[in-house]
Amino acid sequence: MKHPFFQILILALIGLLLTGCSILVEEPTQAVVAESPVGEETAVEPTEAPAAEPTADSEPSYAEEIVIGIGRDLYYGHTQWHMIHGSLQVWESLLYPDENLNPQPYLAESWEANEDLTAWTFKLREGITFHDGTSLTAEVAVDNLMGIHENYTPLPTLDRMEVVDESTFTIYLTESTPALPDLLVYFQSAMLSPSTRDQEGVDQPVPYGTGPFLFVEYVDGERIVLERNENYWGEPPKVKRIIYRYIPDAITRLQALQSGETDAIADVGSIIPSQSEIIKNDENLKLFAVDVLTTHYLFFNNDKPPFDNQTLRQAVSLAIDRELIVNETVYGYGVPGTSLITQLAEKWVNPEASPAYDSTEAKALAQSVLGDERVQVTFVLHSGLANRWPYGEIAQIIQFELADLGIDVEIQTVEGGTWNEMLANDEYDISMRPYTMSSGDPDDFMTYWARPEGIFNSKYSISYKDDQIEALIDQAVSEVDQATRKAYYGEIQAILIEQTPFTPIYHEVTLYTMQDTVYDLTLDAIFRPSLNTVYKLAE
Amino acid sequence: MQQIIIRKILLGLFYLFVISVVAFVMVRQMPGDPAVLIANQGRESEAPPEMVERIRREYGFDRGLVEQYRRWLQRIIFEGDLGYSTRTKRPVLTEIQSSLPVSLHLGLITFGITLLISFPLGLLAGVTRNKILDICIQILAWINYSVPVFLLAVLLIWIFAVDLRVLPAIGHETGRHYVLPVAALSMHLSGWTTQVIRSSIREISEKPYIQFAHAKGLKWIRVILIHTLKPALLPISTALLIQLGNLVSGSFIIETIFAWNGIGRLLVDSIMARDFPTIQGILLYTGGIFALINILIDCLYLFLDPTTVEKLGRGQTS
Amino acid sequence: MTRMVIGALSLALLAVILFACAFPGLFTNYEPNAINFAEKFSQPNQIHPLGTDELGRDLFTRMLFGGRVTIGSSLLLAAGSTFIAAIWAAISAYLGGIWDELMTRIVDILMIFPALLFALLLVSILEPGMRSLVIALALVRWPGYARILRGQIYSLLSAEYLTAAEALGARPLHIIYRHIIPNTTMLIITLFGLSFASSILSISSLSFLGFGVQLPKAEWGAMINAARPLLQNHPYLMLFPGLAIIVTILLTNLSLRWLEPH
Repeated sequence: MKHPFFQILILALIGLLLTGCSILVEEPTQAVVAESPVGEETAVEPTEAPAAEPTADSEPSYAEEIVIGIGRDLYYGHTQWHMIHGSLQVWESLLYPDENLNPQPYLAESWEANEDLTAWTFKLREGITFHDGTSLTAEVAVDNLMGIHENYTPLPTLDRMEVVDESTFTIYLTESTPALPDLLVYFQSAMLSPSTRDQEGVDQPVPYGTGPFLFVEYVDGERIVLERNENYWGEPPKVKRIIYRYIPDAITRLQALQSGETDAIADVGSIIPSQSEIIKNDENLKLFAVDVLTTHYLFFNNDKPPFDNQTLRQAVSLAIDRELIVNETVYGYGVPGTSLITQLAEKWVNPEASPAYDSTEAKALAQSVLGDERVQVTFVLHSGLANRWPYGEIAQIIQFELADLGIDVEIQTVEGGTWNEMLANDEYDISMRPYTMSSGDPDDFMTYWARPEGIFNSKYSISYKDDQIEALIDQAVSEVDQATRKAYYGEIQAILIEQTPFTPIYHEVTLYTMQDTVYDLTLDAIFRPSLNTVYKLAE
Repeated sequence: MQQIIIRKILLGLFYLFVISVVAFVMVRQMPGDPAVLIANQGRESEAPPEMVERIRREYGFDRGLVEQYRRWLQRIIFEGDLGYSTRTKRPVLTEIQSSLPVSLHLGLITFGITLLISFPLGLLAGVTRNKILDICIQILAWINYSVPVFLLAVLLIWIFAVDLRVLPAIGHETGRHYVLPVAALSMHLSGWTTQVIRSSIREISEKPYIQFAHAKGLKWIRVILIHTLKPALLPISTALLIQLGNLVSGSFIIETIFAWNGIGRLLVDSIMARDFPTIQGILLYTGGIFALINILIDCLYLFLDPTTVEKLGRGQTS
Repeated sequence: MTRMVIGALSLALLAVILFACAFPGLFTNYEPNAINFAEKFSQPNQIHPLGTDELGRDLFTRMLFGGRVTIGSSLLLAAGSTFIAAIWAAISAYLGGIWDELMTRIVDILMIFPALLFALLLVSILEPGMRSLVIALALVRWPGYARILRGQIYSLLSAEYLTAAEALGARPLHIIYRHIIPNTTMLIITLFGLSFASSILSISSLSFLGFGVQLPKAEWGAMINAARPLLQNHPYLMLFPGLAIIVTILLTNLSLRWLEPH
């Protein structure tokens, strides 16, 4: 007896297998791997030389395309005002910091302020056009700045902005703001053309900036494609096309580089420090390191026992061997946290305000508080952060060190949403997070960490409050004289080190790597890659 | 017969409705304020409270659970609109449409390869009288099954992409890109299916009437195919269909490791980002697939097991 | 005969592993969480039979303690899900009628719920740790087993010889005791064995996502994951726990085959 269904089932299975096999031998739809300018159509024996005239010219031939692997998605579309991360150099800013964190002119040519620093006038560079052909005028600039301010409020003392002429505008402030240029660097003064905002219903809005690269395409969760802006106002980039390939898994990210499928990895947290050994052993890869503005902080819940006790917090800080942590968990690619704020902020760092390591003193202090008792605390880790940086290992080291003090640490790794919730609800004793002082101005830092209404204090229940500090911060932010300002911030740092509501563990050194055929790709202190200078030699 | 099928389809739809309610409630029990999380996506700094409140109102988090569900259901039924992803601000349907084919291709091809491997092996192990062969195949199957997928994947990439440079590690552009992910997935799966096929076949081939058929001198191919394989087809197909359902729902691990933008990864990313609309959209899709598979299994029973109708009467199958 | 030899051998080896994991103190002097940077990344040698990991901890010790967590949790998970399934199926079959109908529908609905989604939602809602993982996974898996068990119970109930027994005046309880339980027990044991194997793998998959055992505790799946970035330079850190999983699953299933009646 034959059931027709039985026959159909067999046919279906065979059909399934055939479909599978046919897909396996399908022609490639898109080539991803970087190709040399010589196309596949060349019927001649493939040579190394480009198809152009083979002269004695020793000009090297450049590859058209470079693929960069990264661990986070840098295209935001409608979810962020900027639509795309600054690293990709699709948009540019009025100001950008140099190696000493001093704001330098970029799209803005110059600026000057009045006597009491309440009015700053900016002059734009002439003749700059956006990717859609419109011009960068003062009006457009002001629109952009106001739009950014609505979303991110970088200028707490803003009163109003006024257009003076075609290429000049003035910012008026309610009080004296000596650090205004610092507050306007990079993200805070990004320039996008007005038509960028007209893309309401578009799924993948195009950010029309002024930068050396045009945004071409975004494939969700996979890649961003950029192309050279032939009408760029500055030096045109050497490479024609850049593809940012999103590879969520850190191990695969490096393996794809080793296999030649990507040409470089260049973003913060895209290389796990332990991978540095592998890169160093691979003769086809070059490894670089750069000091960046990010610092990894350990913070306490100052509101509840046992860390409402300052002496115990000091004991913990003294018990942490920051040098050991840097050597063992990041393989030396880090700067032990010997300054409260990033060591790159040379202008402001107070060298006296430095956490020490002294395990004997730590034990003594701890004993003076706890006596013979032991206390149990919870160390909560954000799993996303722990995947990009060795927080897990650091926590285990600290756990080991604190055991000697009579503190039993329980480590809990939770995902992002839960972490935020636990911190908001006071359900932790210790935690860690990175912080990037992107403006180079310490008031940024203070606003987050040291003001009682500061976001970290309230949101993360750090609950730090000190009237003296508050007064100092208020004075410092509007102090015109640089030397006095530096003295204020120096004092603030000293007090914070003494009171230890939080403490720096190490300052980030970001690793980046590339094939040995790739040149002139560097990362700066705010992890922006030099896409405009990078090039790759063709095979 | 048709009545039964229609009844099952309606039942399936009802099930979908129930799980959509359950999922709706469960995702909102997850810790963390979704408005805060959504407001802070991709930002270096923290979002101002006004923005958080605006988002809260925009997505209706400030309304009651029933109200929220009603609005979501209405949009789906009357406008066919699954809503917008909170993570990317693109339509949920677009997100699913761009990641679905990726997982489907991977799943189907893995399924095909797995069958190619495990059918002959399972059949062989089931009918052979050579005990050593049987045990060897079983051991091989168990070893295949028990290798953790992420261990296998990273090994395969290391050997074939990094060392030998013959196969690519990431992406899904060409056929060559499928080899490593399919290998990693199908090794585990074929271990299991080989066992299932072997068990079902072995159970039947040990029955006296099979021995009898051999003894009578019937051609052994005929014996195997018609008398051994056919009866075993029912439990085998049931198990295989369930695995197929799992496969086309996407494998998060493979999709993450090989950097494929499939629906498994989309689901996990959505959960982490508290992207409720996308979670619910994927749930409807995946739940729908499983409901469909359940109906298929029931149909299989109806067609292949003649006693089913009788059992239905006595309430012994659903 | 061959089957018996292999089965017995497997069982013996498995017993050794279980014993070692249950009483690690007898086999090693090291502490599983003792950080010692001076000895980090040692290759297997005389003082460290399996080498050390990135924090200098003895790998053999961590394998034993990790085995305790992995095997213990998987046993608990397998037992939990099979137990719930058995009770559910038994009650469903015993009550029959509308209750059976309802309970079966509930199982069907749960089976349509995508497993990963369900598990992730549950672990996120519960507090972090191994216990939540086991609870979440047990709740996700039991419906599948319940369906199989119920099918088995019903097909037993409808067997010819039972009707004959009933006709001869045997009482329901007697039927249950004599016929249903022995045959179903075999199936439950088989399911338990299969469940144990897939539990180990599920637990390690979820540790890939960051759920499960908390630092610094050892667990085979978590150890494999932590060792992934170190694969190219220190492959043994990943291979030993991987082998442990493969061997444990293999031995468990070979032993179970032996227990199966012919």
